[in-house]
Amino acid sequence: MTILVLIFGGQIEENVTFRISIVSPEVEETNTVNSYPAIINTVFELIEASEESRWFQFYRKEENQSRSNFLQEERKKLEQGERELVLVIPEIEWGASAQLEIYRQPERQLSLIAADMITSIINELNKEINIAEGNISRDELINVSSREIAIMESESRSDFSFAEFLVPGIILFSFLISGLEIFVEKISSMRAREILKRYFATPLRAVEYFSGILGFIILLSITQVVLIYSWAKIFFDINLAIFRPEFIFYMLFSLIVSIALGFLLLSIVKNKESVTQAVIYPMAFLGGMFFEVSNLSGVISLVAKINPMYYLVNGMRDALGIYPSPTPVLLNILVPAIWLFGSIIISSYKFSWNPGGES
Amino acid sequence: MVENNKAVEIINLEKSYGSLKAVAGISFYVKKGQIFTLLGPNGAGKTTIIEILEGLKEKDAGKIKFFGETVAKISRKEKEEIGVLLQKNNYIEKIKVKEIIKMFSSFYKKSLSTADILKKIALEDKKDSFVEDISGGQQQRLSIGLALINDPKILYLDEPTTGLDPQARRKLWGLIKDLKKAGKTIFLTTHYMEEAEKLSDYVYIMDQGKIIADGSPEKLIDNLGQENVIVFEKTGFTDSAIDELRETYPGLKITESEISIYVKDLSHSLTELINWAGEKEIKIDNLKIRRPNLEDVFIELTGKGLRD
Repeated sequence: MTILVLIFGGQIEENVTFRISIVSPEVEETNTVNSYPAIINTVFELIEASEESRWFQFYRKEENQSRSNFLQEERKKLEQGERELVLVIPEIEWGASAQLEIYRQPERQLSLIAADMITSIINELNKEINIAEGNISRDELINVSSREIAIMESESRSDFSFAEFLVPGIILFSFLISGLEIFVEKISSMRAREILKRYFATPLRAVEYFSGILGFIILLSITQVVLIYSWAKIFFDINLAIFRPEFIFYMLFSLIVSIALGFLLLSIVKNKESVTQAVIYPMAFLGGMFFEVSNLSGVISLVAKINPMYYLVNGMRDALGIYPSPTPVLLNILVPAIWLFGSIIISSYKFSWNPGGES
Repeated sequence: MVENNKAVEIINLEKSYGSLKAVAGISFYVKKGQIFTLLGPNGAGKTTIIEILEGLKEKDAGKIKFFGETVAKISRKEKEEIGVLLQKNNYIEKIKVKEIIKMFSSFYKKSLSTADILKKIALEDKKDSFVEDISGGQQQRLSIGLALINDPKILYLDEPTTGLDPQARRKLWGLIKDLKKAGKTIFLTTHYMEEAEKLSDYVYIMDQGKIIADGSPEKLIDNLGQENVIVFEKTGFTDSAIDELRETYPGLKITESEISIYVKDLSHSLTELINWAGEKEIKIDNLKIRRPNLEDVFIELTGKGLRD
């Protein structure tokens, strides 16, 4: 506990959770009191039992699982963004020098922080062991040499690609363009030129017409996703699991939100061209589609934080394991959902296919 | 018997836009197989009425009967039986004549073939042209073709010849007359008195949301009680000269550029006018003699022209 307070102070945000895998040795030495692995495990068990446990989620191998399998699986999860760190504890004889291995992702801030924290914990532990063994006294800490458990950091996913980071952003941007351009530009132009009025002078119902438009947008979006992915695969050698259910969910959700935003603009705006441009680009650039925006400050940060695209792209990247979401999953769904329902409610009151306003 | 003969009837129809009463309790009916015309200046309320009857607007009050059946509003069922030509007719870009006909056919349960429609509107040779590439008159004929796709019982034509050149206008009149011969009921709005006179079986004249006269064009003109109109330029006439003329011809009408005198005895009145002008040394320019028309009826009733 002392170690944690010394290391973390009050600097960690409440909503951050570090997902850490602990790969212990196969042998039963972990149960021996006088073994390094046992001491290290005990420290983490104490952390789990403490108040600070809310910051951590530890993963350990099942009883019947081999150490090598577990390590392999956890490294994969680290690559996919499902872990912030993998800590490998070797079999260390008491008194011998040993190395702990930490696997981290250098491109992920949370992973780097997790690595720093674990390093600090081990350093503190080293000190306490040396003091307990009488190698040093607390008063002489600075002057007395100590036995170190060296830490070797192994960086996984060194092949992190910016192209992979961009792909979800480009997909989302294409949805935003489909939703806003088709609805706001095309349909409002057809409304102003009374083309819609002519259609609705026939037995064709507005709901049938707009269902057709939705179908068109969905087909167009599927084509766009296929083209964007193929292009990135061929020219940038990306490797993304785009058929993951979470990612498919985020894509559908993003498309629906984009269309709803288009409907909202179509309902409340008369001069569509300038507004569309004024909406699409800020939403895209302040939505983190092309670069990370979680470190923005001031008013721009506020604009980014109310932007549904920011949460959607975070969710998409997180679902693909490209980049951990800086926002909680709940917010990634909740904020766009608020925009979605708000847009539906306002559009249902304000939308008119008739340029005169009556429908 | 009369009831069976009615295609559409409205009773005390009302429609307002905010404080503006566009249609103020109007009643009329349209006989089957006739060309019925609403004539009036822009803003009289013609388009509001026709759009209520097309199902594009909702009435505030009143009753609508569609082929004998009272309906709260014109819905999908009635739209299957009506053909519509709006005042503005625009279409999506890059669509061919035959394609737009097919597209509109898909909106109806029953429809005529594309070939039939192209024949009716004499655009067979333009079927593969893009709509944006055909002339204004051809586009208007295409719009009428689209209104005929479902072989409607009644056709609503809102200002069908506005913006067309005289030749295209006359061609379209021919098409409308052919449709009448084919047994279609036609509901027309126009602000062209010549169009109303040439095409209509029955005319309702509207102004400021109200009907101010109705009847066949001949009857409305006869009701003026004048047989001829002497028209000449106003240039050169002083106010005192105009006052003097007004005493002699009480029915005298003056517009910005013309003076019109409505007379029964043409030769007597014309001689009298020329003599008076000679005495006063006033030159009469561009003197024309014509039969009174619906515009004269409108001027008589409202004191202003249809285009004012």
